[in-house]
Amino acid sequence: MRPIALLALFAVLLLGLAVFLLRAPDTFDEPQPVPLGETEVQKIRGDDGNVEVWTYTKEELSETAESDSGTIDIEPPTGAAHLLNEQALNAWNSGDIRTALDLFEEAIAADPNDSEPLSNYGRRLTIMVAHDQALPLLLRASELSPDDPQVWLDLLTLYERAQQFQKANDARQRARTLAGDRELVRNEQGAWLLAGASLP
Amino acid sequence: MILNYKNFALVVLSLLGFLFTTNANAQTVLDGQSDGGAYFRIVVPDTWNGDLVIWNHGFSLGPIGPVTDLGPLVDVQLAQGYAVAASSYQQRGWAVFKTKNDLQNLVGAFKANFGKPNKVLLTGASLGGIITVAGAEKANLGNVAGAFTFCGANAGSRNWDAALDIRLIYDAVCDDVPDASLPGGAQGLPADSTLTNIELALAVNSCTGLLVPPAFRTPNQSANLAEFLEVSQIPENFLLTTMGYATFAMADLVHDNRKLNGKVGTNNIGVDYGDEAINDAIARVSAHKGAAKRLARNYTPNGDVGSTKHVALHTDKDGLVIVENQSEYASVAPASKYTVAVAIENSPTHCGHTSAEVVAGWEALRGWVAGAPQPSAADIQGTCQLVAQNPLFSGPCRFDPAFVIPDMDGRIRPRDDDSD
Repeated sequence: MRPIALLALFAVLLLGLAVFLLRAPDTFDEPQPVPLGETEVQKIRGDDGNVEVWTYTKEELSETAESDSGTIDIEPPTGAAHLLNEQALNAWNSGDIRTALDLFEEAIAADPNDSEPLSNYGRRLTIMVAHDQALPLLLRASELSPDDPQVWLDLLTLYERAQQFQKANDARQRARTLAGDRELVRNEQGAWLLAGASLP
Repeated sequence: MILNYKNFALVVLSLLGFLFTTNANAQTVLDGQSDGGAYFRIVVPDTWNGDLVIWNHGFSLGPIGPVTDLGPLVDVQLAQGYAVAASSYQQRGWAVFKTKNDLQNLVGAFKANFGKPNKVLLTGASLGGIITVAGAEKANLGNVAGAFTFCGANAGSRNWDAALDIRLIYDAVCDDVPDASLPGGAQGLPADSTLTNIELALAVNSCTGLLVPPAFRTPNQSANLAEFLEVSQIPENFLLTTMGYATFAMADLVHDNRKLNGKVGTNNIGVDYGDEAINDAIARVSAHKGAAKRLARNYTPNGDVGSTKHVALHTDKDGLVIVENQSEYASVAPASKYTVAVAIENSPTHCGHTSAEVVAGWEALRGWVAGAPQPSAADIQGTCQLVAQNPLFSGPCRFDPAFVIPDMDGRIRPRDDDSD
């Protein structure tokens, strides 16, 4: 091979390396920090084995929750609501009740159409005998997930405690129909659930 | 053929599935409001059998509003041909001060629109139990042939002694715990209190760690919780509920000018709480004489039920309206007119009867009113097992005929009338 050909080959390889190095940060750099408001929420997604960290401000979450889907170019809020819900449960279970209540509120604000935080918050307000606050949350959860027997069992628990027995009966019937062969039982707190299940 | 209420129940229940489907929409509904401001709802099936069932709802501190709940048996009762009616009551909370009027107005509205019922059957749960008892004893509602209560506060006003004790025990146990103190005392809360349910729960949690898994409680919280539960004899999962009654409900009772008008009607002078530290630390309060009388009158049952037959159900571990309410009422009610069946439950509930148990109690009363012998708890258990075979009603059936209801003095400590 002539020297000029070797030089050309070397130049092509160098160019390829340069292109590779220039593109590489898109894949390997740490996520750029977003200016934070009062609260930051990070979502970790494991699709296809890749880990991505998304960081939002509280304001962004609020904007997204109120906007039509697709009009804001950030991750849909359901993931944030899910994470806030998990954080609320962790706070509750570790005894930080006030923080848990705040986080449940934030989770619901992040995605008012996610029944999971609605149910979890509603159950805890029921435990706290805050029946008036629990009811709209549990009713909304039953609208969003009407085929889930647990949403009706949550309402059954609440209606029993609020001594609204006709409504309790209706909720029990609905849960029984959806539960099929699974038995309806109470846990140690007196809350209704499916046999073999546990409440988060 | 001898009329046996079990046969009666079996025949009726075998028809219920059919009746449910054919009767579902054939009814007249009348909503209204009567003197005093109580709302009412009356539902009359087209195939009305001439009798009226009145449902008396339980305790609520919510605003008075239209009736939306006619009790857990409404579908069954309408299918059986009964008219069913309920009042919202004109008072919230311990509404017994005015329920005589509310029930009379309800029956008056019924008569004006549908005619005089042959028989009136009073039913109710929890607070609705004592309203049913008071209705049978003094309301002059016509031919009150039967009464059916479950988890009923049938002992009446004496239950408020327990609420007073719970509040004052809490104060004695939790007084020096940061964030745990509560405003008020024997009066529940001050008249102008803005305390919320959530704030109450957080305060109780600060003292006892109640909302926290045991592993996360501090030693002080665990000790406070153990002491509170031991002296108050409340199941742990009822602590917040009973504290709600000892604060919000008590405050409503005391401060409502149509109830006790700012005066305390309960006392704990000389009460021995069985714990030296609590006996020393607890506040001692006297009742206002007039308030004590007014509370006792609204209502302490006297057993003067005439010909009314009464079936009562209760669960043995009820942590709010204790099962001893039934032994207390049995001490004044004629035994020939009062049957009690107690269900044994795994964990404490209030009104946690299964639908088969409630239907069995109702069927026992119906059979008795129709001429069958007075049912026993064993009979009701037998009927329940029949009822539970119907896919419309779930069991289990847990009535224990051998269960002996303890004396109320063991749970609500006796006290003298020490009003000042």
